[in-house]
Amino acid sequence: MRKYLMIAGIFLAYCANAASASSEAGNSQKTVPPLDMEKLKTELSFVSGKKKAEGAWPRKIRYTFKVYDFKTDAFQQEAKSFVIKKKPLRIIPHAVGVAEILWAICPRDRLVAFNEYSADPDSSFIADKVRERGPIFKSKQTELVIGYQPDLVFTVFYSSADFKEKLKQAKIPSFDLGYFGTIESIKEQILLMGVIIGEESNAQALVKLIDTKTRELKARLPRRERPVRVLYYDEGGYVPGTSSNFTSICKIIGAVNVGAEQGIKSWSQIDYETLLKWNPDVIIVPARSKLKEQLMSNRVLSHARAIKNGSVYYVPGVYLRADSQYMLLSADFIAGIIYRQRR
Amino acid sequence: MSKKDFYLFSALIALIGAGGFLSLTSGSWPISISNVLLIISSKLGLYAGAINDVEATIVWDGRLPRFLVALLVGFSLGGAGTIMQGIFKNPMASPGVMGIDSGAALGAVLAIYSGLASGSLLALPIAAIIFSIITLIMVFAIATSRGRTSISTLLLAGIALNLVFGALTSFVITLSTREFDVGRVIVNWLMGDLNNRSWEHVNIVIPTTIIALLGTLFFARDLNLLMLGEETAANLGVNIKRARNGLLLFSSIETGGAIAVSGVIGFVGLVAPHIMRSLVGPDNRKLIFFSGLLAAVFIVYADLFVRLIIAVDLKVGIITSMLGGPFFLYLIIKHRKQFEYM
Repeated sequence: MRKYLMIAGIFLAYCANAASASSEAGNSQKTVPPLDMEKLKTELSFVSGKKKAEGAWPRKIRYTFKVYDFKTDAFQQEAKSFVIKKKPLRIIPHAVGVAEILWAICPRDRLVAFNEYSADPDSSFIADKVRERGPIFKSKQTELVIGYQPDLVFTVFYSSADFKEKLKQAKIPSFDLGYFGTIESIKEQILLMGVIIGEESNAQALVKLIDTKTRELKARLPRRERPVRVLYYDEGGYVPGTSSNFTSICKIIGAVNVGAEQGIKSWSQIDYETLLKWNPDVIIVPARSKLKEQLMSNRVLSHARAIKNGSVYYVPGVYLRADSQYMLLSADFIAGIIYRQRR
Repeated sequence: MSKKDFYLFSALIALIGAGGFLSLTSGSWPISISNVLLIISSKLGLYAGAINDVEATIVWDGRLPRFLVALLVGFSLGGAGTIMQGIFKNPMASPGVMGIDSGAALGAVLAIYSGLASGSLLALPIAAIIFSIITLIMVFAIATSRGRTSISTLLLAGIALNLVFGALTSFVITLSTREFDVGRVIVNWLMGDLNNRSWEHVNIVIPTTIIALLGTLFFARDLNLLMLGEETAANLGVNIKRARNGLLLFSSIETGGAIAVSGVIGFVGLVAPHIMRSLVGPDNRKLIFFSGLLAAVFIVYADLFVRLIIAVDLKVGIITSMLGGPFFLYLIIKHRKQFEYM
């Protein structure tokens, strides 16, 4: 019995070691992005628009609530209105993208707390800042959120119904934000959030900055006869489609998301044979894996263009999950990867 | 083998053959039937002409291993189910009754969560096999007192470990939801998945299937006598302890090996022995083999269904449970009086 327990122990230790080695392998990749990543990140992290006269409160905001229904693989939208009595001074974002946007457009002393994912460097571009500043709550710690006495909580359409209901019972004003999957929808949400928190000019400045930087990025991309076809392949063999932020990232940098090209709407699992048939120019895999080695050594895939050219690249999860202004940073990073051998 | 058994055997082999043919000729990459035949002939050294390299790799390294894994997993689960139902004299017994599949699932889920599974194709199956062996040892350690192993305590220990490992697996799943990709891989695996199986997977499941088949066939006569009652079996010269432990060990090897390469596939090991018992009778020397073949047919066609008829997102384990569950209910209703006397 003791012998078997020892074997299990050695196995688990090996697991932990391999996991950390895998993480290191993913991060060791050097990229040459068209725009300076650090500078771009700093610029996108804080904007200040022209100060205008304070608008009237309370205010009634009319907006279009758009969500992606994963069951039917289709968008649904409806016209809604929201009344906010006074300028919110104690704001809590319940999603990473929302926190990142608020970080840029809202005076930071008005941000009362952040959810755990905003403090996770694998999900958030402001993780280090959030950790420094805190406090941090877990997504389901509704009582903690209520205890911070916010005067506005930004939820998103996929926040749990329980969480939203408890906020309602505690009479805490909350605003449910819709779809964030494309750079266009992100810009719409930024402007909407700007109106809700009374920081319209900052929101407009951030949207303007996104447009300017997008143009700058596009201007630095190499001219090509045909766009690069990029496939994102995760550990479960899943590929993102049209509604994913990966499609939007590809569009910004003039590439084609092969999943969307082949008719996938949200996410779909494909086998190696299908991957070979679709034959992408570049394959992107999540950094915290050893998927590159696995794909490169697979016999079926040995005939695929990306494998033959060695064009399989690790990308840290934070770039693949971006649903805020930092999507531009993701586009810059991925452009650095896919165009670096072609410049 | 009686004439009836021969016809049944031929029908099952024909079904497997047809399933194999469909598996090799169908897929997202269009390959003509004649080319598939040429590729197979060439690989077997029967054809010396030119073949398309890409098509050959797809058929030989993609489709064929997937079909063989489905075949061997089915055969293993069917055989293991027959043994479990015989030993426990319980029609509800299945390969998972001793907690082996829960143990294997926990090992696999840990391998995925730790990131080890993405680094090596062998990591996940090896983790699953190690944990299924640990589970087997634990179940026996709990159920054995003064050199005697109680069959009812074995069953109860299996149920308890099933719950404990199930809870631990759920805990790891909860932890993995932070990383969306990892959570999805785990859930896929728990639903039974034959996507992207390769020769490495075949090489894992072949030895476990063969060793377990030979082992269980060796004890099959003893199992027949054990079903008459331990006292009768002992009077007829059966070494009860050796036979029972041997059968449990071999069925656990079969289960662990199968789950290691396919994930958790339910109901096949439960339903196949029931159907075959009504067709070939209760003689385990035949039943183990025939149940294995029928379970192989189930899984080969379930995999084909997943690949070709519905989108690839559907999993083999879901199909087998969706078809096996209602069919099992039908059997229960049809034979409920018979079960009362088992």
